[in-house]
Amino acid sequence: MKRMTQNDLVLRDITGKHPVELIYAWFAFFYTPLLVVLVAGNRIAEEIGSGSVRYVIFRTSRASWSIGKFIGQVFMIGLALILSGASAYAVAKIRLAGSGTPDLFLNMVQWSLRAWIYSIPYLGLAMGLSHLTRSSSKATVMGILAITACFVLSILIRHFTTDTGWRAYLPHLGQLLPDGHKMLLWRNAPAPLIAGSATLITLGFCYLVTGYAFFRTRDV
Amino acid sequence: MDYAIESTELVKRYGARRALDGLTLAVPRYAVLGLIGPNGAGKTTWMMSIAGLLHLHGGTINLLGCGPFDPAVHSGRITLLPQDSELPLESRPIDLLTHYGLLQRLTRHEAKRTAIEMLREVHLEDRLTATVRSLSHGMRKRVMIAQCFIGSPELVLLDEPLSGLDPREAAHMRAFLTRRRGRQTLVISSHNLNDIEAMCDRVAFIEKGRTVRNTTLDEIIGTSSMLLYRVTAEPSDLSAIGAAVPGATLSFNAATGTVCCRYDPNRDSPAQINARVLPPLLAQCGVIDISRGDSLEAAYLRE
Repeated sequence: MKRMTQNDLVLRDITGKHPVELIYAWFAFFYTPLLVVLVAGNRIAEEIGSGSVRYVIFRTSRASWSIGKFIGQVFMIGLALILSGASAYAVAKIRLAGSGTPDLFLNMVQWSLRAWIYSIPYLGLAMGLSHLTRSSSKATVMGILAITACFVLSILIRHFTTDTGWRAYLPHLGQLLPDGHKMLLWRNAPAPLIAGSATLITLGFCYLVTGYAFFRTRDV
Repeated sequence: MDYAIESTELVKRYGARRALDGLTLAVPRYAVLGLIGPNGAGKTTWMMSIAGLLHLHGGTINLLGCGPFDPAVHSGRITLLPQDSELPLESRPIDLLTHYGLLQRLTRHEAKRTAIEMLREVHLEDRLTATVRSLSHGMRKRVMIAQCFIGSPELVLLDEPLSGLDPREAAHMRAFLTRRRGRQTLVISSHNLNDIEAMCDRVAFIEKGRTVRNTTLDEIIGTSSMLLYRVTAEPSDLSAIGAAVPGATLSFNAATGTVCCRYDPNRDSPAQINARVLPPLLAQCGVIDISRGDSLEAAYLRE
């Protein structure tokens, strides 16, 4: 467990939690970025490509449209995750005797909410990139490449970080990636949870705005 | 004159090609302007630039006296029927139009009421809750036209509004658009010059990204200053007929088999011209048909 978490505080916080909870949390955190890219990553490119955006942006600003799309997708993903948490609880209750306690249900919902927060920067990244193209499939591919790049960069940063020299600064670069704040969402105390959530949401908006900056001046 | 659109020296480049090459075009308020030009002349580019969908490389635009397009200022005052643009396929027309109304800052009640009214106007009252995907091409086009008139905008830009409509619906939409004359400013781009002639009171010819002509339909086709006589044979002595109508000019067009009489509308009425021209003309040949002014198509091809 210590090797998996690489973080003593997280290890302390998750010790004693129900295995169903932890397995669900691990799956949710691992697959949510991919789910987000596959489900929502092409939304903006799709509308630019089909031309349906043209019926909207003479009625409202491009910024409102982009942010509206983003917020809509954030809530769609949130709903999907809460349903997945409830489903995992239902499976545990049916298949594992004595697992269907109300506490477990609440904890599963809590993990869904944490995974939801974790999905926001990936959603911002995918939707930000989606502003750059008219092709739905190209947007999906760009999203998958981007999250893969995020994972690989996070691993490289962890691997090459040392206590001295220029490599000591690598974790700062990691702060620009969602993985740099993931462990805060595994904590129990409110302070790291709130800080991690706020940072991840901000990161999501920053990624989105970077893509929007291109869209703002492009022809549609 | 009060203008709905004043666009001056507009330039839009795609690589080395200039889609708009210093295009200047002004549209008076409450005019119904027909935009005519060959493929690639810049009509669609001009409309999209007016609605803020394209970014220009030069020139100035003044819309409704409030500067270039800005959604904060022009939302709900300007609408567009873009060419080759799909509506969201899974949406229902009633929801879509209500949503557009809300974006134009109508109240929910008002947006829904207008949406139903407009869909009824385009004969889609029985498809309010069908998905766009399930509608035929012509029905989708009617939804697209309906969305342009949500909230009674001051300026409506319509790019090929009647293409893809069956003859009955096309006639209905022509009548619907004609009824808007004097209440809203409409700009209609179409390759069907009969449609333009039926609906518009002004016409602009655009060629290679420039305005070649922008004037009233009457001036172009000469409704009030020209009579055309389609004849069975070329009149043997046109000057004898001309002598009967002092101040008028007569000419024969062998290609169309017509005698054209241009006259001063301040001096003579069409009835007076007919009374003078027909007796000597009938003495020389048969007259099949008399019409006031030329067709827009003939006038355009002549330009």
